[in-house]
Amino acid sequence: MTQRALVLLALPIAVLSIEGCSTLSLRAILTRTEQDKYTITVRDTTQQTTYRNAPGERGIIYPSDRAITATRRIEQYDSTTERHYPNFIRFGAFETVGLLATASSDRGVGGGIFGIYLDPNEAFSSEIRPKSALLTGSLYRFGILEMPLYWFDDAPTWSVGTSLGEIFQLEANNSRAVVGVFPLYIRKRFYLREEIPYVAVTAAAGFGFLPSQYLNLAGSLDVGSIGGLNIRTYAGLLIARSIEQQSLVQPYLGLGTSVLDFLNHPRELRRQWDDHEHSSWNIGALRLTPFLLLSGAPANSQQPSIGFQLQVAPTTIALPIADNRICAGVDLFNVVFAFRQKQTLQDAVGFGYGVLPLRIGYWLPFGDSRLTVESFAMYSYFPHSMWQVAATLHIGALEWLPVGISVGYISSAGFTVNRGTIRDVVDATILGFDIAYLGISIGIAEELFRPSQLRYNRAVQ
Amino acid sequence: MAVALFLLTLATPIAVWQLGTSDPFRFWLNEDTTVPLRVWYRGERTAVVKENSHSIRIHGTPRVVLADPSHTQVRMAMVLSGGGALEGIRIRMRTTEHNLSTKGDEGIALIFDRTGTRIVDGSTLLVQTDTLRYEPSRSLRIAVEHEGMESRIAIGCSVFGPFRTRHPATSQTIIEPLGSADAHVLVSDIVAEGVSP
Repeated sequence: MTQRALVLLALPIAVLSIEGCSTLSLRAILTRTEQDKYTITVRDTTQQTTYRNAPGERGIIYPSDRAITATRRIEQYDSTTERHYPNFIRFGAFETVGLLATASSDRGVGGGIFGIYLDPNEAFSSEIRPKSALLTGSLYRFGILEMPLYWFDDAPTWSVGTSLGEIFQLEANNSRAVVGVFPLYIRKRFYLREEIPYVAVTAAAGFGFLPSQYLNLAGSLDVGSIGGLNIRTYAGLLIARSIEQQSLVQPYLGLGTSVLDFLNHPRELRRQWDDHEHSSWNIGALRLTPFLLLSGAPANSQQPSIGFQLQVAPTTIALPIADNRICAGVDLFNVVFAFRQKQTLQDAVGFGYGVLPLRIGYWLPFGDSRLTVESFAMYSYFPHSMWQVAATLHIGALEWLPVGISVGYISSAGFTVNRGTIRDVVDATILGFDIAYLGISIGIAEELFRPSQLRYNRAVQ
Repeated sequence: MAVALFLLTLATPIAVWQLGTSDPFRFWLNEDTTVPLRVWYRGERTAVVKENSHSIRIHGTPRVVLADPSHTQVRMAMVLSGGGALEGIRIRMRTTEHNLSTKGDEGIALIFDRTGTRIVDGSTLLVQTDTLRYEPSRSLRIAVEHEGMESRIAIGCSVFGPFRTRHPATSQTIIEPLGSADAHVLVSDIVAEGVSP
């Protein structure tokens, strides 16, 4: 798994380097810019009249010497306006799918319903032990991009796409793992619902070239995106040579989800970014909250007692209740490091993490600004129980880098890991904890949306 | 084989980027001249066909924009030749497609149809004549010139203007065929030059 991840990471970086960051910059790929040019002309004529009267007494009526100087002046102002439109059908950061019956039931990966609920002893690790599971396999995609494809006399809703990489982990054993870097996908969507969140049936044909060669024929029922979140059910057929050169023909069924995964209906490609409808109060890549423990630090913990919370892909969706202030959210991962405790044999840490933790809260914006207070309760149910209540003052002064002040309480039941990546990183006994904290939150590549940007409010307008 | 697979892998993101586009409704005319013109339109993609580097054929009634990206004050000429289903043509100047569709900024419009010729600036009628009419299959040269606040329009041998207007000069000239979906018009010998930089 680690080798595959490294390959997936290294190859795209190499390709992007070869192809040049300037031409493949994310902005150029994701945004189409239109320019209108104007020249405004202002014409002005000044007339200056000069009288030069001759000296001396010349009587009441006398000729005067009058000179009129007319100055014609033309000023021209050139101006250019730019409009920015989305240039993609789908742009996604991460998709994970739990696959059904891709191996005998005792050789499963054990990723659960979305393929991401991995045993903490094996999460982010290359050593996966076979487990008895209904959803035996997993499919992961990273960095998904789909562009509109106009062919067959401009038949609508076709797209051509790729991703940085995708992994079909059909069973715990790697011998049947299929990995693709920049696979080529052709997709056709049939929209069943043309309002957000969209519902569509998608047919897809994918071709992988390296390191595995494969053909992936799939159909899916897609719901989303809303706030970059999607739910998909899959049925497909994978014809492949695995990374260990084993030929396989594998039908599969799956249920998946994706985060930071944005879908544009074709009509939205003609709507400027500024006019796009938003369903969320915030979407971000990462949110880091270093905090000071107000209570709950054990007596022999390191001082000062400083911990942090890391939320991966935090998303808060506005619900059309109570002026859209009731909100629900989810993170891809939520990691809390509460404290480190010195012990004689081995250190202990207050550590917890959650996969797809659920959040519900109240979002209170101040006017139509990016200054807002979010109060929420979050519950992590996997791999262990952890809950949090908190309030955060978000200040969206800098674009894509909002900061905030957070105060809250986190309670973790703790869990045990004996091996694997988490164990190696933490390198200590994991303890449950109950802490109160005061922290500073930093949203990395996070966007806070104003009330006027919500689609519910735009509909009212 | 491995090299071919590696090249395919490298080519995939480039192919996706080049094949996939959110706005295929555009191409260039006069690419080999110093004043290339960008053609951009709304409607079906097959509604506008590039006949050669100086000509386009328009089917139906899409809104077609000819834009000189580097000049706003231009002298532009074209020869129109339409079929029987075409009722006429409307050419809008001193506005942009975006301003026209979103703000209703109609600029200066030349309406040339079977009843005659009209030139209007918003709601102000500048020119009206019934001696110059659209006749199917008869080619007619139309030339426009925008300089500063003034515009001149020539239809065949008749020159109208200069008209002084408050509309800013823009880089776009918008062609709107009038008639039914069966209408077609050949716009040929499209040339442009900048009047001032």
